[in-house]
Order: sequence, then C-alpha cells, then structure tokens
Amino acid sequence: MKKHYLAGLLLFLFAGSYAQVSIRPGVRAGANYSQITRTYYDPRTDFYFGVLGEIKFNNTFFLQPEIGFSRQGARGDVYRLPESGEEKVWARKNIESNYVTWGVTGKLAFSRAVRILFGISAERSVEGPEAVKPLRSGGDFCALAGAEYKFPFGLGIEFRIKRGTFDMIDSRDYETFSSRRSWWSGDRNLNLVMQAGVNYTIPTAP
Amino acid sequence: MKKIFLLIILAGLSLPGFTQRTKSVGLRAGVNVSDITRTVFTARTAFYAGLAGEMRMTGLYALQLELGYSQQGALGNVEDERSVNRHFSDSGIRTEYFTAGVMNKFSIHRKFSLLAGASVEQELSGNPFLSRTLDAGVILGAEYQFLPGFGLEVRAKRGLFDIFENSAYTTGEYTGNLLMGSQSNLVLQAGLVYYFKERK
Repeated sequence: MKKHYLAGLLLFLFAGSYAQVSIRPGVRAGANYSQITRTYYDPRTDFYFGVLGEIKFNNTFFLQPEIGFSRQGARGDVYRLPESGEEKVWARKNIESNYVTWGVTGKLAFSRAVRILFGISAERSVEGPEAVKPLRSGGDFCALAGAEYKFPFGLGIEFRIKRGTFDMIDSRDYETFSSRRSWWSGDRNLNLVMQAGVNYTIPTAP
Repeated sequence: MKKIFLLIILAGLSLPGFTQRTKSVGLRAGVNVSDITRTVFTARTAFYAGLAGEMRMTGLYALQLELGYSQQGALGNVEDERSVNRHFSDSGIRTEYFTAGVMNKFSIHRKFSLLAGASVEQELSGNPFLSRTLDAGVILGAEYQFLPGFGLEVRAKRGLFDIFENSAYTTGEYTGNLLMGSQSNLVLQAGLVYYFKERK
C-alpha cells in the first residue's frame, strides 16, 4: 500500500512539471528589409505574414511552429557577366523572390514580456525559375535570431534577423563581389532579411 | 534503504521546481574601439547596443544570452577595383554587425563579475571590402555593478575568421590560419548595462 502511495506521489510530481504545456494559436505580420549578401544591389522593403502556434512548456521556454509568406529579394540593376569582351550586359531590374516558409522558433523568456528567439526555417519560392532569374534556386534553409516583447493581452512586438544558407547567385554568370567558391570562406550570395512586426496570440484564460 | 532511495528520486524530480533560477533582462550600450588585425589601418571609434537575458543558476554563476548591434572595422584609405570595372574607395572599413552571443558570467564578488563567451556575427551593410559576411568571436570581459541594476562593463572581442583578404593593406607575413595571423575583427568595448527588476 505504501508503495502504491509513493508511486502515485511520484507520478503526480512528474506529471506536475509537464501538465502546464499549452498551445495557443496566433498570427504574425510585419515589414521585411531584405538583401542578398555580397552583391551590389540595394535592399528591398516589403512585408511578411503568417500563422503560428505557441507551445508553452514553462515560464521560460516556448516552441513556436510557423507557416508564413515572406516577400524578399533585392533592388537595383542586375548585370550578366560577358562571356568575352569588356562590357557587362544589363539583364533586368530588381529581384523579387517571394517565399512560403515553414519554421520552428524557440523562445527563451527572461521576463514575463521579453523573449529571445532562435529558429530555423525551410523556404520555397512561389515563382518559377525564370521569374527569379539571377537567383539560381527556388528553395532555401534559414537560421534566425531575434527578440520579442509580449504584452499580457497577447499582442507582441518582434524583431528578427534571418540568414539563408544556400548560395543564391552563380557568380560566374552574374555580377557579384569577387567570390572564392567555398563554404568555409563564407563568400556567398545569401538571403539576409531583417523583419520587424507584430504578432498576436490568443491569451490563456486567467 | 529503499525509502532513502525513493526520497532521493523524489528530491531529484522535484528539484527543477525548487531551484531558484532568477532571470533578468538587461540593456547594454557603449563605445567600441575596433581594428582589423595585421593591417596598416588605424582604429575606429563607434558604438554598440544590445539586449541581454541573464539566467542566474547559482550565486557564483550566470548564463547570459545576448543580441546586439555593433559598429566595427578600421580607418584608413582603401581602394579597390572590383569585378566588372567598378571602382570603390573609402576612408575606412566601416562595418555593422548583428551579434548573437552566449556569455558565462562568474560573479566572484557581490558587485564584480568576470565574463567569458562567444558570439556569432552577421555583417549587415554589404561592405565591398570584406571577404565574408559571417564572423564568430570569442569574448573576455568584466562587469562592475556600481548601483543596484546598473553595471559598467569592459570587454575584448576577437573575431575568428579572416574578414579582409586584400594583401595590399597588410603588414607582416600573411598565413591565413584560423586565429593565428589572419586579418580579423578586434574590438574593445566599454559601456553601461542596466538590468530590469522583475515585478512579482
């Protein structure tokens, strides 16, 4: 009998630390300030939006799966490198690549309001390969870091920086900074996006 | 014997709920004096600012996560011909980094802590004189809390990667090794920290 009692107590204590897990749905939207690293293009300002589920494990750790749409790219004249001769060839104006994104963000809360965010995402361009032409790939994997300020009524203000991992432009075909072609050198043309926006999750009942 | 064993298990399981891990949010800002090692450039004075999340595990040790913005680089005349007949010149390598770091804080005194940590840094301005945009750094420093919540901090940060490769601006023999002999970010930081008190 005593054993049962102890086992029950154990179970109760064990369950107690996990029973608080809750999932709250939410939305997020804001402005994108995107560029492609190691190119002469100017940044593009546009927007992103998405839906999310905020899984609260305890007062410190949250896990947030996300699905979203993000308008990225860069602005300016795109030049193709000549095969021979002196003059570079104007190819097009502006790179507009718009992505559907699937991501998971981990959030560490250092007070009731302030969270620091780290996450990863997989992204797929919705345009065909011709529409994003200087870009060589329609897909990307990204890593992100950021911060969030969350009000008690569910509204949040957030800032993120997201960096891609795939080389987006073939530097043999298009004009970029001079490139050594290795992962180690880091000398690649990647998506780099700064995001500033708001989110809203349905607050838990008191 | 069995009872003691069970008690230990009980204590172990309930421990996470009872350890007083106090968390606090901090803001940091201050002055950067930065240079690029093994070049003929002179130091640049600029600023940094950031957010810190402190998780205090014991009286002696705290883990601190940091996000920040840091202006770095060096001053000196640089000129370069780039791929398709473009000419660039500037009076310095003025870089802007977004930094994400983890610091270990050893509070050897009630008011005084030693810091050791690392950071990952992303260049934001698209400077054409850099050979790469992603950098990592090791950081050593100290923090002195002169008032409750207010601290003074001094740090030294050394980049791990060769970020500037043009040998025309270097002095000494270039080896290109990681840590030894590369042209890396070197930053001295001095500034203020403020930690918010959480209202219960």
